[in-house]
Amino acid sequence: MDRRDSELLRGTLASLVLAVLDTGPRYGYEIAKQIRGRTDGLLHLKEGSLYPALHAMERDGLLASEWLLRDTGPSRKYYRLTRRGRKALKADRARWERFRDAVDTVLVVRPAEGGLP
Amino acid sequence: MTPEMEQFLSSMRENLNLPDAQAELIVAELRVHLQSDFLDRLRRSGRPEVEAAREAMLEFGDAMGLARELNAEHALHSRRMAMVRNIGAVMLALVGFFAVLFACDPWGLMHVVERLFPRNPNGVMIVGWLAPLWRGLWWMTQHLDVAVQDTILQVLPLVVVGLLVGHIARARGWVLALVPWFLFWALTWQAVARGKFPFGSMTHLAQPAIQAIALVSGAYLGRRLANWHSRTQKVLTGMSVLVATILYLVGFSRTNEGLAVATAFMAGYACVVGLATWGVLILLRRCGQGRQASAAQ
Repeated sequence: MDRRDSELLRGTLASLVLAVLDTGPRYGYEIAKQIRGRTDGLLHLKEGSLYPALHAMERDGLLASEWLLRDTGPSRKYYRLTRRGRKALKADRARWERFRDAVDTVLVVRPAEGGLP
Repeated sequence: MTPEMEQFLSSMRENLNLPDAQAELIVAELRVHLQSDFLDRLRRSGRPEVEAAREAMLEFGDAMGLARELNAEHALHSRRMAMVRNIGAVMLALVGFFAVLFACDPWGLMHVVERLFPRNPNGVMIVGWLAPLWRGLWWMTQHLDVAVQDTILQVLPLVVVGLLVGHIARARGWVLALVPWFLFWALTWQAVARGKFPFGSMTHLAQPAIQAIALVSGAYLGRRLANWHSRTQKVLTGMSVLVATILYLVGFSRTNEGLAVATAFMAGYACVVGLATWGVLILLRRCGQGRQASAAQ
């Protein structure tokens, strides 16, 4: 992943986290693994940016967290979406679609429109 | 966990400028992540342990930078909470102020001022300036049910004081919260003993309310001075000091007038308590820093 990919990822990090948690509660490492797995390793999330983002989203009420004790191994902090988080995800999805369509209209050159006048 | 990973976490823990319990939880969360990542890498590629640990740590980047970012996130939350609490404290102070207005009979006070300073009409004039507002509020209290009046006059000022002392206690400990309270009693006792206490002519109910106002303003000023971080806090502190100083000077320039003396007493007291609280907080903070420095050595 090059520098420009990283810049794009930074702008969409919160939306990606919300989307992953939409399928159920997960702990930090699982969230990073899910994003990496779903994108075939294209979006490689640095953990150094994941945790500040998770804590900021929790502070803003988009996520709630809970420590779950396990019989084996250390307890884990699971994050889940709040109602406000679900609303934010819905808005992010709509915004992303509009943004993607707008960028497509400029970046994607169709054959009928291509070429010199 | 390898020793390098523990060292990484401990270095980050040292740089987390958060309450101990919160910092421990953050480190515990990151430890789970580091360990899972490390074990996954070992399992997947069979790499040497040292290399897998180094790669897992690389994902987190610089320990100090990560701690700084987490500090910033949590500090923002604390600042918001502090702002909400400050707004609450100011609202309570206003409630205390109105409680004083309810507690004092304006006609009775004007009569007292006239009798105390028969040759100086200015005192009566100042009371007269405030009289319309005061009379309106007084009229309101007269039309309230007796039980409601009692609640407003007696309970509210004490609630204000109690909440404020509780607020300071939560932030700085009970010992410090009681300092302004005892300081006020000492000053009041001195003033009464010398016959200079300006509120003797008012109803006895006014006194706790006036104490509440003085205590709230003093402690608020003290807290603002002690939390000298953001521009907003500096502006608030500057304004508090300016207003208190103006009130104090105005009060001194009219020492023959009952209400002005009362104003001067309250404003002066606010300054004294504010500065005393500030001094104690700074002292405690320095002691704390000294202890941390010696622990680090």
